[in-house]
Amino acid sequence: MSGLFKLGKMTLQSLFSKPATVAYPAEPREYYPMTRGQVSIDIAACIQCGTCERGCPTGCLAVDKANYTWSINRYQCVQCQHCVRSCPVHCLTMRHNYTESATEKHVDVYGLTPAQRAVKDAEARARAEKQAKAREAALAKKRAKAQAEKGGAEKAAGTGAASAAKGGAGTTAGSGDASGGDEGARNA
Amino acid sequence: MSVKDTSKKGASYVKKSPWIIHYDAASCNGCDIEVLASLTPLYDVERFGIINTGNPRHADIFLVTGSVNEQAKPVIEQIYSQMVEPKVVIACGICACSGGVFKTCYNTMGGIDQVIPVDVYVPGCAVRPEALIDGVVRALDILEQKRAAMDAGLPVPTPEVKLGVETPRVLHTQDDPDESGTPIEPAAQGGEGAKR
Amino acid sequence: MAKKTLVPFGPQHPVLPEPVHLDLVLEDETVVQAVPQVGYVHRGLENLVDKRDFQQFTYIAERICGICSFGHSMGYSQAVENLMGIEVPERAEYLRVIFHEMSRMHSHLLWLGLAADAFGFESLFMHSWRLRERLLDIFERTTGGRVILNFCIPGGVVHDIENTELEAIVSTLRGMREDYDQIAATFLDDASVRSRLSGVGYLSKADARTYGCVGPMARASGWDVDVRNNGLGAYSALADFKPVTSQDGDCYARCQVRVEEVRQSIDIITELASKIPDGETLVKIKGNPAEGAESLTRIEQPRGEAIYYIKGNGTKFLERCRVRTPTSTNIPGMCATLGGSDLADVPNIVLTIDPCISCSER
Repeated sequence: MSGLFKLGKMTLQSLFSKPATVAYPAEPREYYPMTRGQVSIDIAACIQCGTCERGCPTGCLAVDKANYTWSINRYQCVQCQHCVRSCPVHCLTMRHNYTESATEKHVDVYGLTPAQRAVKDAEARARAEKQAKAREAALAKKRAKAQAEKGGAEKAAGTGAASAAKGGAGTTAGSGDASGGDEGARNA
Repeated sequence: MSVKDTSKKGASYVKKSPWIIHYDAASCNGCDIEVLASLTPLYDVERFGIINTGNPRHADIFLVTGSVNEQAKPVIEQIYSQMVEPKVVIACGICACSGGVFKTCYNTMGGIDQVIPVDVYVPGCAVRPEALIDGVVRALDILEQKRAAMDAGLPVPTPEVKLGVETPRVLHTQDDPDESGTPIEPAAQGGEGAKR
Repeated sequence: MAKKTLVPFGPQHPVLPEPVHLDLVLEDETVVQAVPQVGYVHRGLENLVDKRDFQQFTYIAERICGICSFGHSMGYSQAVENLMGIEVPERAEYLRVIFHEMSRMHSHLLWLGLAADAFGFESLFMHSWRLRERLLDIFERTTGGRVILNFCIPGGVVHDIENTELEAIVSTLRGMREDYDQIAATFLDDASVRSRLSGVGYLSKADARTYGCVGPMARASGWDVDVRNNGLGAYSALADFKPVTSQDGDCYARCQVRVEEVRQSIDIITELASKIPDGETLVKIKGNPAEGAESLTRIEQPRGEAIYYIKGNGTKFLERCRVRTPTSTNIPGMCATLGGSDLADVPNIVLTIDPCISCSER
């Protein structure tokens, strides 16, 4: 008998207050800003570095560098936010609304429109050309430097008598020439 | 009766009050406590007449959670076979949909659809009760279609067990007018680069 | 001569939240022996250390169990920090303990609902889970998830919680307390609850030590074993901490201990929120665990003492991670108490040890 009216106060209060139930789906549900729902990407900003793919604990992400695509299997993503935190260009965000239920699974692939792809291809080509030019310039500079050293060494070898005797025997003679050339240059 | 997709505002959830049976097949319990939380006052699916029964022979909807392991496989098959048609299977949570974080474990099958036919997939880790209610509403529509097929004497439409079947891919681009995306043909996947 | 029958209990049972199989050997209505069969939830996730590096493994450790989720992430993070000699900022320690105590509260409220539902007290199940929703609301507002929090990682906590938010948490808990006192009184003072739980499933203190029981199951038998007593981490800032114990050792005593622990957790959170220092909450981890380095950490999870052992091998993958969870040590004690009980008491005894089978099988 002692436990009979223990819940009485709570029960009486609930007669006069709002019901505890949120009448979903008639009443829409509000989310907090921090709620983890699903990952979304700004594909134009993605640089396809693959950091998110390597860090994902479930392996649901795939990055295709050649085709500029990023794909996610939303039926495998556990919403841990590791990719959002580790993205170097911050193109990933966490939205509050959850992935909807479905009768069939699918993988979402996010790609660029043909116009955007053309821009990216042009940028990639320009980058490649710039790199090739820089490599060419560095190589030319190196060759010129080597040429200058060789020319200087020959000039010094022409005046030095000792180096002329050592000359023409191969790499050791070449280095001897150079050292002799240096000395000759310094003397001159 | 044509196949139609259930909208959230549809009234199909008042047509029938299904009974559910719930089983945890190698799950971490997160999704199970959210399934039980749907029964409790904040979400209260008992408004729709849904009761959690312990007997598979009385149940219409089978809520399974967890990435199935070898020991749970015969249990799920037995519960599924004990249920009476029309019946619907809902895979709750990421582990039930595709294996989740445990997909590469040595004894997990990688999802419920590798063992029994699944009608509705509800993703989430742990699955939100609202998503679960959405999934149940979708399942009720499917249940109606199955009952109509049974009444008409036609074979009951049952999805296939997806053992070893690859998930199809859907492409989204920024000027895609249709939000659902364009399916990518499996044959053209390798040549995706060549197409452009 | 009584006839012996074998009744299989589980893995699918309306009372059991998780699949475990017990073969009950009965003589008329009395259980003579209970033979457990576990393995329905074994996923072999300790093997995943070969495939996921030590920072990604935090997300897997969190999903060992959904109820004790925060405890596992905290224990694993502490083990990694011990392994690599990382000093965690003090504010992060306080935040971890506050969330761990909230996790303990949510686990005990969940258990209270299931235990009441097991012998038919369904309205109490609804009331305690309704109260628990307020805690899940706090979790969602501060970390983004209701069940799996993704808050604690090796090095600290993912983001800071403002002091204003902590004050809001404390006031919510204080508001919960009155409702909680009513629910607890309804459960413990009810005559039918007392008659079903008193004297049932008795475990003496000597038996508790022999079987190695931990947590509220051991504390209800009079043995005050509690890792929080050691004063590690932010627990050292508490003015005084005494584990809640009882001398009776039966199902009713275990219920009493858990009900009281919720009130103790509210007090701990209130105290720590007022004493929390300012500062950083995350340090970045550089490098990998050294080869041959080992570390062992213990924390007090809602169900008892959990031990985390990890070993490094010089690469970013760990050599071994072994988790000893409280329920795996409590199961032999449970089977011992089942001997000699009635068949109708079996669900009560099984639920009063608060089984978390997914923890014990990983």
